[in-house]
Amino acid sequence: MKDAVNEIRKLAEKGVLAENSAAAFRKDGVCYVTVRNADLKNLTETDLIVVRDDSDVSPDVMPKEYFLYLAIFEIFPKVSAIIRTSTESIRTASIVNRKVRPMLDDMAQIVGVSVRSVDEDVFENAQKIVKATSAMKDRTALLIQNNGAVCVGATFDDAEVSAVVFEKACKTVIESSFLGGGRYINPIECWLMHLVYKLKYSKQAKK
Amino acid sequence: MTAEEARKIVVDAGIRLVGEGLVARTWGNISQRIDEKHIAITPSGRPYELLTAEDIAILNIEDMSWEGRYKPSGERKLHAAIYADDINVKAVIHTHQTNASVCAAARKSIAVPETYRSLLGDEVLCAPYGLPGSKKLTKGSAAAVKGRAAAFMANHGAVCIAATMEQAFERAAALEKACEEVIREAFCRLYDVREWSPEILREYYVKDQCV
Repeated sequence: MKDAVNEIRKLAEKGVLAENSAAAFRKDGVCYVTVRNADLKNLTETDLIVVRDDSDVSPDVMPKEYFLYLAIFEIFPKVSAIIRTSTESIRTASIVNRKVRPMLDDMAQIVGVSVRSVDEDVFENAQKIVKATSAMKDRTALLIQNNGAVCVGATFDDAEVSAVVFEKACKTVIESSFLGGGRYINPIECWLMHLVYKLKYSKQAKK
Repeated sequence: MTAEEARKIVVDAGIRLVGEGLVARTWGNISQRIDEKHIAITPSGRPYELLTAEDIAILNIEDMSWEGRYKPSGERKLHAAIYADDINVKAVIHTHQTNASVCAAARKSIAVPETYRSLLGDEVLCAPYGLPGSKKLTKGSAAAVKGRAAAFMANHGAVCIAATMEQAFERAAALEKACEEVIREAFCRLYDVREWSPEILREYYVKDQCV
């Protein structure tokens, strides 16, 4: 657990984790979520909510992402790390609140064929949480209106890679518009690249 | 140059590539010419920080045979084509650097701003789009960079070539700054503004998109 706490601290130091956001991880089948308003740069193990079936968690300590994160863990068994990021271009894209499609092949490979956007009341609405999780299928990121993006992975390193690649992808979509507009990659090719990357990466991980 | 010297140059360049933010994780690739027929090139899918000289593959650019512990980069054909085209090219780096990627996604060739012309020449061309590792990407990128310092690879990244690895890095850094300047100028022209900051950019972009 110490390792995970250190990784969260590092992500906060690097600015990958949004201020006032929460991170979560799963270890040995148990989910951990950082408490509301945790100082992520100086996180300690006491700042973690341990989620068990019989847990009696006070709503006062739950971060706003709590139920969304737990739903993600529930629906995606391979996800073991979740962060919310609000770096410059991701934040801008979340304000625009529209689906982002890949203009760069590394987004297609790592993040998926697109990143969908959900309204900001997703944090308080069970039905919208269900929709949000279905919007994340085969993707490693989800835009949340005015709140940046949630990025996921099998590890915090994977979630960070998704966040970094998605930030560059958003910057590309935004800034290429000043040059007359960027060109999107064909969705079928995006899907193919994502599939090949997943197969290659899972093979490497096994090695 | 010996194979060992070339391998060491590639290992050091890999660490620098990540350190300077030109690539992340295992993306991008680097090669160094050994002689007319052989180059040292980064392996496929290995993190730069963990590479040792023994991990660097030696590739024959004529028959594409290779020696080494790991398979060479998936973009090896691109590297081979660039070296085969010009004997004076001694180092090649392929990056996924941010500002160059913006230009690559716009599939635009750029006129290089005055400040960077001594390093990059007058123009950086954009190669046509092709899937990573494909013949189309290889041929198009090799043609776009031939006789020049750098080229964009559409929707993918950039490639910089030079007579030394040091110069290839200088060119990659100059390319990033040149692209940033081109993007800023385009923004200011488009919105008829004189200032640039992330806040101003966001304000205009959001206003534009939400109309």
